[in-house]
Amino acid sequence: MSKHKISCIVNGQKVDMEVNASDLLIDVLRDQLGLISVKRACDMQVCGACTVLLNDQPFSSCTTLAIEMDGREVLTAEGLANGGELHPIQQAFIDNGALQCGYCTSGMLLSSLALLKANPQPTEEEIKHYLHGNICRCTGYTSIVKAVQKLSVGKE
Amino acid sequence: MAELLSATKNNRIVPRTDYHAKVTGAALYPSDIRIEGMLESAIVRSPFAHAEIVSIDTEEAKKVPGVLCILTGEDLADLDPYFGPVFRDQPILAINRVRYEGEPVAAVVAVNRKSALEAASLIDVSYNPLPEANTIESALASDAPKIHSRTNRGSHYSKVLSDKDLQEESNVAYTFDYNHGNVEEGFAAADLVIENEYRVPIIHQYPLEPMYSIGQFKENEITVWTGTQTPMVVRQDLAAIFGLHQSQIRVISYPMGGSFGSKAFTKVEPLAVALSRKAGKPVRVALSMTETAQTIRRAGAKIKIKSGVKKDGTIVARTVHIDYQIGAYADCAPRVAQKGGYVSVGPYRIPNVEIHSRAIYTNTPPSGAYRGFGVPQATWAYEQHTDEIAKALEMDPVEFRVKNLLKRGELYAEGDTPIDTDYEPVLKELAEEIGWNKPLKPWRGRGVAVSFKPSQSPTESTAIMRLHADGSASVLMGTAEMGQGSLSVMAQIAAEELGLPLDRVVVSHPDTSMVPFDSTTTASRSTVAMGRAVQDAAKKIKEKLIERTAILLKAPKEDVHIQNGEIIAGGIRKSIPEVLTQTRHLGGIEICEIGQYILSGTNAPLGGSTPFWEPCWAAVEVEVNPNTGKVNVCKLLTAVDAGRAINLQQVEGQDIGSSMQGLGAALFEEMVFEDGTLKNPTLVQYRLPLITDLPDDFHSRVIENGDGPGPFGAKGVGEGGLMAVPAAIGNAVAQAIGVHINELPLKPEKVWRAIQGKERA
Repeated sequence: MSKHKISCIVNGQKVDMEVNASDLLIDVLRDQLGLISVKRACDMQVCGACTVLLNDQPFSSCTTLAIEMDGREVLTAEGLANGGELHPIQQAFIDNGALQCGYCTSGMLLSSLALLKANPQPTEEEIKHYLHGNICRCTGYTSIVKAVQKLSVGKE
Repeated sequence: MAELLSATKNNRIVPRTDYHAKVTGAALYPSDIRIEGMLESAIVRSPFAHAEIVSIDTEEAKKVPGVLCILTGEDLADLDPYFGPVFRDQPILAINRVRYEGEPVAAVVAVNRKSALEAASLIDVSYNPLPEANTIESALASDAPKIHSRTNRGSHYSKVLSDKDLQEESNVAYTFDYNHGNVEEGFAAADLVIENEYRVPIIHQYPLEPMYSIGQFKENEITVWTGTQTPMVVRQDLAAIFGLHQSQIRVISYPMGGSFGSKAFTKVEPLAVALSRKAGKPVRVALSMTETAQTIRRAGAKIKIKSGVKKDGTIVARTVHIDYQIGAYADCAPRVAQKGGYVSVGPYRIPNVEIHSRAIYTNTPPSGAYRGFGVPQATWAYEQHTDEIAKALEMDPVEFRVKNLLKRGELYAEGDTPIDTDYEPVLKELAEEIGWNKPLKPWRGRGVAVSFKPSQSPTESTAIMRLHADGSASVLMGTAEMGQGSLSVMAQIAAEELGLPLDRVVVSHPDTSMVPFDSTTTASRSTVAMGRAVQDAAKKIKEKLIERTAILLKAPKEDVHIQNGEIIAGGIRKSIPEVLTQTRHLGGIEICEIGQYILSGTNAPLGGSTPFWEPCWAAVEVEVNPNTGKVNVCKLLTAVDAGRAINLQQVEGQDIGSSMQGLGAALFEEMVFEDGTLKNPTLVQYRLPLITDLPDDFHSRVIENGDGPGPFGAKGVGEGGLMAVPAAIGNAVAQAIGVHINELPLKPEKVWRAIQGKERA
């Protein structure tokens, strides 16, 4: 199996590594880089639990090849906080009780962040449309919508 | 005292102690656990719903590089390889016969998952297919193949279900009958008798995290790292299978990525241990989401319900025949049939009642616990039936319910706890809020539903609390965290009772080698049962600390108080470490206490009187698209009786989350079986509620009267939405289209056909 040298920025750190052509992004992030916030669930790009950002765009890492990291910036939930200070989206999820088991949370946080970068003032409908690829079984979603609305520019 | 609970209601949001780790990705779930030297595995599953295993050829599989060993039913001969909380009828791997499609037949251990999967694909199993009994009807037919020929009494529920329950002559795994009054006389005295039949399909709990268990077998020592709601039951099953003492078995349950009942009772833990026993190293069993759905699911049901009513709307008699389609192995499903059957006439005042509930084995995956535990199936039937009666009587459905709903203090059944909530005012408030009497636009409808469920009894929880030398505290207890927030609530209860800041209390995960016994994390029982045990332990520590302070300061005990982690006696302030150090001779530097909550059996129909009833209410407004049959839930209002919400935000979160699962069960969820084969085994084909399914107006009303048996007046919550919401949606759809659809889910095609049928008629 052919090995490929890749170079990327993972959560702000430069990473040079070798990956197999067939390696999945989720496996490399979890098993080689120890980024366990990336959660394995459906394995078929339906549930969003394994979402990570590549250059601010959400990808399902369960169905993305690791080689896609090459030359890109990778963000996982581990990279959201700035030292001891939580990212505002993390704080908004806490304040609104927007998680229970937390298994969807990393993906939900990253999809929300991607939305807010692309559209800093989303309407409720735009939030729902953007997040409909992230399944949460616990919260019933209302608190998640509220948390994202809190970060919408021009709102509280 | 009461610093956490005394803030005004709207501000009573206490951030959960596990939130920080969960938003930063640091939290360890069962799927994140790695043990040094751990091997991976893959399972070969049966393609047939019912077949004899003729031979298993593992030669090619053994040649795959990285493969260590392969386990089949033959390897289990020196064990007692069956498990189950009611009947020990489920083998670790199929022995000679498979009873459902997806049943584990063999398993491969390899250095990595890839090799294990490759080897598993090369195992050649030869089957001789047998006649199948896939449905309730085919399993009950006189010529039905018998799915089980022997049954052994199970582990956990053997005390609850009596000896007469062991049935070997048919596919009826369990029967529960209950009656009071005389239904024949009741029907004879009725002005109107109405009978309906309802169906509820098989659905899956779909926790986002699939099942993961790591087993490690050493001589006279077993360790399991898993995610389970019932670590003590898993330990009991493992002890029986491997012939060890419970003290030799350590089951550690990590916070789960959702469960909703799916990870209650033993699942893949025995397989992980059996694989480790053969491989000589720790082995992980990692299921996919599809495999998790092949492991456990919710029982389907067929319900016949018949009521006799007076012209004035008084219900005088009701019979219910409810058959639960439980699958190939019993798991806890007989208990589901017992509990769901018991309350299947609803929270109504009915003088003459007769209930027949059965759990029917079929050649489908095992069914077990799912939020509501058999009650959602019954509620779908009796609350749609309630609207049918109201319609026939030309009575308003809310008024009809109010006339018959049990009031606080009334008995549902002799020997059980009297009703401990106020149905009528809450139902009226929800109806008012949904605009019950306001005109409706075309193709819109409104519906309400109520339901109730007993919690668990007999039951027991024990907790250990330790106040350390520095004034911080540890709680050792066996309640499992699956997202419901119990770790945080137990910390709150301990902190509140002892007068400590919340951040000084750490609560353990269940580890059976360290925590004292706890029945289960099920039945919405933990806040009450384990909460009381934790509170009891904290109270005892407080008493000792106050007594030692009083001796130290020569002050009356009544003058000593603990506030925010400090001891105050008259004008003197002392830190907890000071008092512990200076009174060390009176009981040690650490104060360690045991707290307990135990409910013994009673003559109530379920063998114990429930500590509280879990009631629920739902009111909805829907809009139906007449061209497509698609149902849009516009408004969804629910209510939950928390007694006293220890964490208000979390109570609301439980009710909203449960209600959204109810919306899914109402509108799209269904495991489709054709000839015993699951046709929609992945999330691509099985539709779960998405964020885009959110009703425009969706909120939960939390009722707090401080009247629960739990700490500070709390009751258990979390299951209500899934019980009441589908029936409320069903009633609303019936109003919108003019006809009731008796079978879930209310998929567009079914609704469209109902509209066409009505228009033709």
